[in-house]
Amino acid sequence: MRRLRVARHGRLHRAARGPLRGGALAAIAALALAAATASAATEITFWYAWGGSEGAVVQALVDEYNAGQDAVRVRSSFVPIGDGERILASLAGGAPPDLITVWDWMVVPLGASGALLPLDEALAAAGVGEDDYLPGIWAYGSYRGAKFGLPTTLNVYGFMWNKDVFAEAGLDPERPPRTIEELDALTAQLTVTDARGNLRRIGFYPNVTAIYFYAFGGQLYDPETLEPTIDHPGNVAALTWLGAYYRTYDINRIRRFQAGWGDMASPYNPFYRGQVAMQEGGQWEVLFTRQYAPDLNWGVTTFPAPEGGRPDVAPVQGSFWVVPKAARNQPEALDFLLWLTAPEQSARFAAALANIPPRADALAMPAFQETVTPELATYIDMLLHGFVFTPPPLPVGLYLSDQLNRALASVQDGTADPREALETVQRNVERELEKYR
Amino acid sequence: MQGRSATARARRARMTRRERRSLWLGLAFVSPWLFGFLVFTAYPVFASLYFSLTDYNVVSSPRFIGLRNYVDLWRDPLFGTSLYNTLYLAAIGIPLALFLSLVIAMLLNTKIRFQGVFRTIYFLPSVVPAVAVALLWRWFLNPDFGPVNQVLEAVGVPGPGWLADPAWSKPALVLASLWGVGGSMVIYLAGLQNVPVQLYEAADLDGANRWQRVRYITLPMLSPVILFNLIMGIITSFQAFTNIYIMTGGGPSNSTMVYALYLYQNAFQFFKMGYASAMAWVLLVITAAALAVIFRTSGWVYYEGRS
Amino acid sequence: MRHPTAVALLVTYAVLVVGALFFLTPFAWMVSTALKPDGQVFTIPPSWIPDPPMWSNFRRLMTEIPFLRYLGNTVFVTALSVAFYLGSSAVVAYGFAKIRWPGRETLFYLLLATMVLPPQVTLIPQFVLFQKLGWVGTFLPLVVPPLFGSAFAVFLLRQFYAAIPEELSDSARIDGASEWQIFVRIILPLSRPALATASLFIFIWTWTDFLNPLIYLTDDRLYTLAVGLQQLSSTRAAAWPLLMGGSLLMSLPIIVLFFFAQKTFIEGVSTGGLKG
Repeated sequence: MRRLRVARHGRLHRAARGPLRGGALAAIAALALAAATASAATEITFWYAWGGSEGAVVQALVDEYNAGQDAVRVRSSFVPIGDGERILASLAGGAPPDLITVWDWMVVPLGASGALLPLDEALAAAGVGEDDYLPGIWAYGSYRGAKFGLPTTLNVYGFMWNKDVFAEAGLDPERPPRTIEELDALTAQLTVTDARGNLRRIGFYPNVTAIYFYAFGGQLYDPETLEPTIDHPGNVAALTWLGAYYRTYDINRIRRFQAGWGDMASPYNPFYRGQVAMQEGGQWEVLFTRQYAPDLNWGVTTFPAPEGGRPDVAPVQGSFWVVPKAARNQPEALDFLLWLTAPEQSARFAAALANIPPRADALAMPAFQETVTPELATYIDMLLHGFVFTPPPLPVGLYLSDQLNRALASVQDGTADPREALETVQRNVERELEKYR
Repeated sequence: MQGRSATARARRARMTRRERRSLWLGLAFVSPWLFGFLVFTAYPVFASLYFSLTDYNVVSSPRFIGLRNYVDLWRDPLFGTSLYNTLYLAAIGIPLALFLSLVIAMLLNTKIRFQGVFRTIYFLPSVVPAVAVALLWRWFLNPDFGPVNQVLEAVGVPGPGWLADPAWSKPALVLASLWGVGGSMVIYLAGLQNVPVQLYEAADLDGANRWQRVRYITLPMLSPVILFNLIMGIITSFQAFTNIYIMTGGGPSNSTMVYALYLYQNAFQFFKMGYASAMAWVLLVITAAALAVIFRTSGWVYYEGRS
Repeated sequence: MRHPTAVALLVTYAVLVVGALFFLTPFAWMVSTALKPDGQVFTIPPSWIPDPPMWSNFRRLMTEIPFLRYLGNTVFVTALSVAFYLGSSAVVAYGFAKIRWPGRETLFYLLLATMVLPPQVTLIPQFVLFQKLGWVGTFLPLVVPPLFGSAFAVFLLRQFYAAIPEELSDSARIDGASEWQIFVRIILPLSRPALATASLFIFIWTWTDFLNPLIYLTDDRLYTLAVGLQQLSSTRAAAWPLLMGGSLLMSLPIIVLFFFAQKTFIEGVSTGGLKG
């Protein structure tokens, strides 16, 4: 039977009212410690955000946990995260659930504000450490040395190219571009316009700006000091290159083209239709192409990079599980969390979601290995051996990515110079961070 | 002399007593709302005013910073842009909606067959989820294969980029608000029922034509409802953002970034609830000023039974 | 109502029919999408006829989520909200329209002002308030505030009450009727169109409200349909056919009510001295 561990710090007894009840609680806690197992099940609340078939997988895991022991009963609810209105409200109200699923951009702001329980002690006690996680993932969800959440699963982005389109254009379908110069040349070759000058196919479509910052040797923050470095020369170079791309292919023409693109999760995905020859794509494309474009010949590899840049960037993002500091049943929540993120469960969960488990031992489990196809193996390889980067551990939420989008927009419109645009972002972000000093 | 002042004083005392009675009566009728306001609404409203003077990210205690949010707001280029976008959409969209819904309501108030069916059809888009309506408009206004541009091309006019073009995105949004006229149409229909038939009959006897009937009878009798739709139109257009968010996300190039959307992003995505609260109160002041102007110049509203 | 000329009638019909086709589009798309297989929702160009029509989507809707339970919750919350909002707003509006008292205009502007503040900034303090009352996790935050009126309904009804001739109230006052009797016996019956219109809007708004049930109904057994339908979608792809099917079912009562209640609330009331 499971032993309940009592977290030593951070437990807030909001429900306790008056010394009498407080005293009684202390006595009960002592008895609970003495007993190896609790006789009545403690109920903990767990909010998860997966619906549809994904939700069924979560529910199955919860049922399995409940069935496997009598001490803790997990009461799980589907809760659409959206932009966190419900999560923020429950944290502000002081009576949050015990375990919550959140987007990655929420973890650091919530942790830095003291709303979340640091997990370091519990992880150390369970013998879980940096070596168990994939390279570069241990720091994901940490703020100033404290881990505030555990990743549920990982998404990793790669550079995809359409082999059929390559062959049709007389290019070697097995030779994707390796340098930025090659990428530019291929983009020009593969872009097709119609009689009126409207785009029929765009050779390459960049979506996540941060990828190119890192590919060009830049970085959004300094890993040593954890300060933002938005105006890093590598970032400026990347933004300059992106600006040139939008000028060459005309931002308005691209927008017009984009308006006619089909839904990503359908056979009308522009990449599957050959409307985009090269793009970024996450590992879920392995599942999606099988479902929506089984006859498509495509490949995935690392991102092309300029001379002196990083030829192996592996952008990573995902969702997290966090335990609020105000949660009423922290030891039980931690216990459940450790079970959920244990290798076996992690492997099964990731396999069902078409994501990648964040732990090396989970990766090796048969439950996950049996889903690995050659393309997925490429993604995993990039994750294991590439330069992994995650969103910066800065407590600004989506503010940073919004600012970067604005900087990009000003460069696309030609209303700002890349360096100035990024320096403005740097200033703005620094101002926001002052609140947390 | 003395008798007159005593009578005058008695008269004044009587009016005060009647006034007091009216005050009690009025408050009694209004008390449910007043109670609800004091208990449920006042605290959140004043809390948000306080938050506007703080740095507040919802999960930690607010930190007082005085008027800094307001100063930052003044300096924020997106403040001006989002306000301009919102006012643009309101200035064009509201009169258009008021006019169209009135015309449709009047048409649907004449004796035609299938009146009920037509009214239901025009009201239908209001029960379709906003996300579906938004997606449909994205298709309608698609520059290459959307019906609107197909029609334009057919008559030789080059179709603009609509939602994909910063210069056309706001007109596109105005078009997309067309399906929402069903709501105000219903309110107009209700108002039209209260226009006394005798007035129309008297006008006919005097030889009035259709336009004169509308101008001198229908519109004045409808004016309380027109005022309602105007004010509700202003309030909702200043706060609406979900449809716009789905259609354009605020782009391209912030051309459709409306005030309410920017406010929402600050409140929940950027963890800047204090800043968002400042935005809210600025909006309150602007809207209150607009409403004050409207009420002051609302002499054209004719209340037949105004107490 | 005077009968329009033949030409005017023809033009009216033509305009209305063309407009009706345009206004039918969203609903038609919703119906057709509800019956589509997953892959056909966003074809390019959009398809209107599902091939084959998946009637099984409705069965899936019932089985993949506890649809009937969510429906029951939604009916409960909406019925109470409409009844409470309407009842209290009707009374409050009378105070603002038919009685002259000092401070009336100020309070009325205050009422309007409460509609102006964007709800995003009052969401959190309001939640904390309900949390302190211990109401979070129950239906109370959704059904108790309606007891105190809706600014929208009060404003609407006030406009309609103010259009009712004062002579009717005056003659009743001379006969010795109290304000309350005048309100119930004279004003309310004459306001049927307005009351019905207000209920319609309150109904639609409560029936489809997503945010308030989301944050206050922390127990998923209490979810309303607006929240519960979200559970049909995975994180990467919205389950459009099921969502539209659910929305279609949700909209049917509104449409049916609207169509059959035309007589009641738009056709209005016949009294001596008013509309014929």
